[in-house]
Amino acid sequence: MTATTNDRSVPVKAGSSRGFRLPPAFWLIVPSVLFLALFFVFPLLKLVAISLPDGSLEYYHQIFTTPVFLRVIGETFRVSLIVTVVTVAIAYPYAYAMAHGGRAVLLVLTIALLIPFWVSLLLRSFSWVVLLQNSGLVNDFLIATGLIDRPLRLIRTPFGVIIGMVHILLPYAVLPLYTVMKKIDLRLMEASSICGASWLRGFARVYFPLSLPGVMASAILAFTLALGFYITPALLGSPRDMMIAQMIAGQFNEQLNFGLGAALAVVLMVLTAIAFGLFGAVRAALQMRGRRTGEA
Amino acid sequence: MRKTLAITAVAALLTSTAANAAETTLTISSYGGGYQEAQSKSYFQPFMAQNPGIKIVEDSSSSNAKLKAMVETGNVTLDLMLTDDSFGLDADAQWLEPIDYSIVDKSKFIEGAAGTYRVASDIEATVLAYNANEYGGEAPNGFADFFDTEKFPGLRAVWKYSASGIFEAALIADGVKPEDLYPIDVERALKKLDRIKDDLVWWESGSQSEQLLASGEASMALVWVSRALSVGEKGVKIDWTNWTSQTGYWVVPKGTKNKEAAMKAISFFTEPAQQIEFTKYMPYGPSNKHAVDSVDAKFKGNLPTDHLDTRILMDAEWWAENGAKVDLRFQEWLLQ
Repeated sequence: MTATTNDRSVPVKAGSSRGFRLPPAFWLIVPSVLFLALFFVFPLLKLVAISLPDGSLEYYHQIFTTPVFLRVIGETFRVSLIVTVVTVAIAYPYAYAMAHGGRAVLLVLTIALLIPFWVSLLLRSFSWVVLLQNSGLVNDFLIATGLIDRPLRLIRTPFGVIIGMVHILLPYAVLPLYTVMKKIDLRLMEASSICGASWLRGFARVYFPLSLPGVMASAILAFTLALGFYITPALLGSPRDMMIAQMIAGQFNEQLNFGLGAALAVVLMVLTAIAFGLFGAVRAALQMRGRRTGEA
Repeated sequence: MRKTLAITAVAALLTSTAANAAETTLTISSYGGGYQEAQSKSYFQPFMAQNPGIKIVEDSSSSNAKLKAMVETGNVTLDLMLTDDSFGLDADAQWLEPIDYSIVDKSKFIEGAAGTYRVASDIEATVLAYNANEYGGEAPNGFADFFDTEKFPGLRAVWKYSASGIFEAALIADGVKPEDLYPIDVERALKKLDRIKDDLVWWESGSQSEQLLASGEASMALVWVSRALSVGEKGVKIDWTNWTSQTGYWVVPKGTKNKEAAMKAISFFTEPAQQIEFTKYMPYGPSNKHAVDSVDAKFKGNLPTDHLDTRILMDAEWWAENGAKVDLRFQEWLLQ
């Protein structure tokens, strides 16, 4: 693990110390940079400009002094965090089985993962409604078997939002984990058991630390995607589970208040960047610790 | 290969400019679905047949936000748009062309249908729909029963939009007379809504409201009349005791190059013959007073204009002025 991080930092340093001579490979990124500048950076700057009419910060002031907005922002991060933890917790054993379970298991699990991935997000959210609503399949079944006599409230609750979001985010969390796990040499586990470690101890001290980069990658991906969810909480949650994307859409489409909507979008983006930075810091701290324990 | 491509491109360019020279193209946006199909059959196609020089190109999914952005960026590609109550008021003057009443006859409209910047296309309704299978012989009678969960248990589906008429419904149920509704007593309405908050399900699209009623998930709902009628065979009935009106309006974006043709089209679309034809396909009433009594028999009795005596007319001006503030309070209430 220490070796890989060193490898990665070396060429970057070498490249930057060479001064203004661009490596030939540079030209390969020109199209993507141009594309991003035109279709991402430019509209983004426009958005920031709309949120600051005549340079005034009034919309930002409004956001940070109105309890509704603060509450929705807080709720968005809270839900995203829960969803991330649940998603990664489910994705981890799934990816483990894909990486080390043999070809047949890999095939079945990949198909089970990717087929829903190709179905539209809206359709999948609607399917959960059909399954989980009061008059839905799950409740009908439970009532028919006599387990309950009044339908359980499964959607229009935080539970509904979490289940729907986890389902949609699962492939994004499984795939980075799988790529990392596939490369882990299982002989290291054998070595640890030869040294007398139980499977659990070997897993905790050897396998899990090696899989951490995958855990971080999938958590970051799941968390960032979760922050922007819109349709799923709208369909599966109650209004109390409103997330900020719904509020942004409301400002644009219903209230026609582009300035406030844009300011909300910018706030979401900045907070996401901060969260990203925090993830990065945690990752760096983990790597430092890993290096130190490695030396010891 | 390249040469053929270039030739085709030039040829395409030539034919399209030739076509443009021969006629005006009027781009019209409406809300899509069966609604726009009905408009196409009763408004757009007859208009083109009568005016061979004008070609109508349809765009679907009208959006006030899109129109606003279009005018602000100076790239107006729409000539005529169908909109809802919340838009086209005097407060929206900066985005719209005033209706040219030298082309459109102002006297033919029912009350409140002809404004400075908009003209009503059809009168729609948000009605109390209920699942008759759920309540046996008993039928709810007005908004008061919508708020009575003891007499009529079950979930209620309501549009998650502050200006949908839900505040008006709550106040009527609380005993306010229709003529005393405005200014809306927001806190009183929310207090009334608190009583049924746990039984409310919020819908955000017409299809969702249909699904909630058809599946039996919701026993009662405040929905658009067309949605209630389309699930009629599932036992969904309409109670016309109280209803709030919604209106479809024609507006012309500021800066359109085809203003005159757009005004001519509005004038044609609101003629009795066209509006009567429209009621063959959609359960929405005409805005032309000479058409109201001669609507098609298909939806007779279920057209909003058949129940004008029990209509609760929403005050769009009040909403335009106070909507943002009320919406914020509404969102806050939703989160509690």
